Amino acid sequence: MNNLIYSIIYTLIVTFAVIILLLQVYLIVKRIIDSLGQRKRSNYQKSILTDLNILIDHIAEQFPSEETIRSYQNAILDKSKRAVLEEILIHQLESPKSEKSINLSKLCDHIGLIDLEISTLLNNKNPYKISRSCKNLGEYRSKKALPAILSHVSNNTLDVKYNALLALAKIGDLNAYLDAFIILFFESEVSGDQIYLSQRSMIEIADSFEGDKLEMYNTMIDSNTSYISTVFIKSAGNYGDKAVSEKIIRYVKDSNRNRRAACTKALGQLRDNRYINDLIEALDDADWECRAVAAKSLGLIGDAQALNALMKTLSDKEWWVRYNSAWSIVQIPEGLNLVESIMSNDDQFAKDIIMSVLANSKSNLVPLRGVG
Amino acid sequence: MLETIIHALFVSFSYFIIGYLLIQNIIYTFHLIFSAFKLSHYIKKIRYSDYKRYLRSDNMIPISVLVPAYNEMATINENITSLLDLSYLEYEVIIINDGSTDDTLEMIVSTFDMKLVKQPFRAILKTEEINGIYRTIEIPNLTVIDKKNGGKADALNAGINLSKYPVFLAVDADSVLETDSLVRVIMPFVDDKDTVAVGGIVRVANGSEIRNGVITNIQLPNNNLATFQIIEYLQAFLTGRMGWDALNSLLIISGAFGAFKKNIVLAVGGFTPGTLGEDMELVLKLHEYAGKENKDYKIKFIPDPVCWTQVPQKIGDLRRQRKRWQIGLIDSLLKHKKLILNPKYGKVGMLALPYYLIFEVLSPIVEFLGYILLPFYFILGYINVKFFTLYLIVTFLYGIILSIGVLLLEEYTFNKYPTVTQILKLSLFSILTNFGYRQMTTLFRLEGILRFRKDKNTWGVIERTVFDSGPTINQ
Repeated sequence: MNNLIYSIIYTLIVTFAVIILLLQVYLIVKRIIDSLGQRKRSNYQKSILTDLNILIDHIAEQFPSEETIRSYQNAILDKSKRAVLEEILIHQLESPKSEKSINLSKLCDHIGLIDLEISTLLNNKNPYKISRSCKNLGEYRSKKALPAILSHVSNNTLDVKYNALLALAKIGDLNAYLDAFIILFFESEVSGDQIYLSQRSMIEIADSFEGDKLEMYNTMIDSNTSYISTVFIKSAGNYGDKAVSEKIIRYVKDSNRNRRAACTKALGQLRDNRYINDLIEALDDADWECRAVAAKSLGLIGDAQALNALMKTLSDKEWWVRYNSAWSIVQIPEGLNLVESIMSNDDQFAKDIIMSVLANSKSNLVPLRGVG
Repeated sequence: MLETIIHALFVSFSYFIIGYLLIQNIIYTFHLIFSAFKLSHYIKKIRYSDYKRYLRSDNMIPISVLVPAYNEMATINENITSLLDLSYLEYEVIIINDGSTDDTLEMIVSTFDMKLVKQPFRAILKTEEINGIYRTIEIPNLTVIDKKNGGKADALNAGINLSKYPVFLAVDADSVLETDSLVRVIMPFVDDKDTVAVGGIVRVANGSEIRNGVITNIQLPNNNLATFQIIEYLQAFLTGRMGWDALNSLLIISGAFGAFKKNIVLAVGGFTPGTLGEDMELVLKLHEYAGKENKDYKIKFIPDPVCWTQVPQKIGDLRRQRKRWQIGLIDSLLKHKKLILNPKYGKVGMLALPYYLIFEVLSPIVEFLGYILLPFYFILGYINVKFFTLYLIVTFLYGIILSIGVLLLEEYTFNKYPTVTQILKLSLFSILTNFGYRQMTTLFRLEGILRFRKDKNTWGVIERTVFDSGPTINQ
């Protein structure tokens, strides 16, 4: 028995000591390998940067020669060199659509970067690699990759879904983009689950669309799914083109509270005073968030017609409604003339809130967020 | 007969100590493994995530950054400069001067040319009296509240009252944030609407170069005590917090860097004044509230190194800090004892809280007894050399493996100490931390337990060093 205990202890000591030693060695070796890898990348970057920058600067006028393309084709076979090239090219592709970026995208295709990413999408099961490839293909704006990206919209991993949708948005092909939402909608119908991407992620995707945005809004705002419709109404508000107002206004009295609030907010962001009466009516909404957003939107539009209604909502039972009403009154030029009458009124809430807004008025040039 | 009984008692107690330490280290090992998986997922994700797009995005939730300040004259200006330079579309910075007896307020007012304003606000949370609110036209998103001293929790509550955004971030006055820290901390709220709070990792700033409130060159401190704390903080955050986050049972969000949904914090009555562990206290209140209301909720932890802080470089300061943390821990657990082993609160009640009670509150007592009694028993012959060797393996060798394992995690993920020299030094310290430093902090925590009743409401003072444009001074 004693011998057994002895051998257990001895084994424990040796095992622990070996583990410690191996961990230490692994740590140091890994650091050395990483440093060498970093140096290799750095050296390669130094060697190609000047020529590559010249090539990129002139790519709109002159597409690179076959020989140059072949040299980069060989380079991407090395993982470190490929990473360097990807980083430089993707960074250059960040600028809006131009002859330069179209040719850059074409160059990425000729070099083979796009085919590599498509191959990952088709053959790899690792969700991180798939997400990364979707992201990169979105950056390359490659229409060639559309079928491969679409096949991952129904992926179970949220990250993959998100990056696939974002890639489709960046590529800007409206048909593929709409197909993706049909897949999402169909998926949620079949599974009975909601679409799990957060609303802000979806708005990000909508905002990122680089194709015909007006056409996108015209189609998606009328989506059967109120969640998707709301997302695109919010995005339309961010986009700022009054041409979508006529689509949006149809939802100002919608039974879905979120869509109603989104519509009210978007009309304010679009500063479209054609629908000011609808917004004034929205100040009587049963939902306080809708009232607060309506109050804010009237201030953004800045039409004096709203002042009487805003004076009444200064006494709303909800603080946000009162604050946004006060803010809007101060924003509307004629509103400042009413401040004296508010201050001589008996309504303490109204007086407090106007004072609060006035104290912030120089700095609070944008409406308070947190609602809507 | 008596001797036999005593012998049996001593041996049983020795078994208990070894068993306790072994279970504790096994739990730490599980934390390490859970954290490794979670971090691996996280790192892979951020390699393709494009945070830059969110820096400019209109869809990010606006944030109020609350900074309670008490006698922070040495570092407050650099802190404010760093906060005003964060990359985020919409946020405000609220400094709460909590009745400082030095020139903290005067320094801020003169440096940033602030003026006293008459600004009414909704005092939803009761706080000590507000003396004044200061603002400046030049920096519209900076506000200073001057108030009567009421403690950190009270100061934060005052900040919450004045804040206008739906999420607030509580930050210590001596913390330095990375420029993209707000984007990183807000992402869990954006990704999941059930997120009510997010904690971040706090890194040791000592020894690093800080220019205009920004970390420009991360270095290891020359001060040994600070270097030990690097290992300790990595262990606590990268494994402890990540491990509990993996189980959705996070109990502590560091007061140096924690973001909360304002409406939920208001629903639980804000921070609790008069408590030393106001950060843990609030998180426990959130768990209790969500459990009672049967709400879906998440309290998350982000492992990105986004917040850097000064750690004590003197033993006296470290002692005060660790004593305070232990007292705060006990205080919070006692206040929420009804959650412990209560199945209504899920993993928090059945796993996390019992763990903290048994392995965090009681561990200084058990460890201390082990350090004193087991060598004593060995010398007296009550335990044999094999047994004593087993104790040494469980306490020291196992501890060394865990410390190096943590270093490996850091190396594999964020790699903030990239040079071979730094890794070698940290490896050495991760071994040495188990011989002396750990025992010292055990003593300080034990002192916290013994002085719990007396020192429940005492914060103490920790010396701050000035952030310099070059290597920090007082090394």
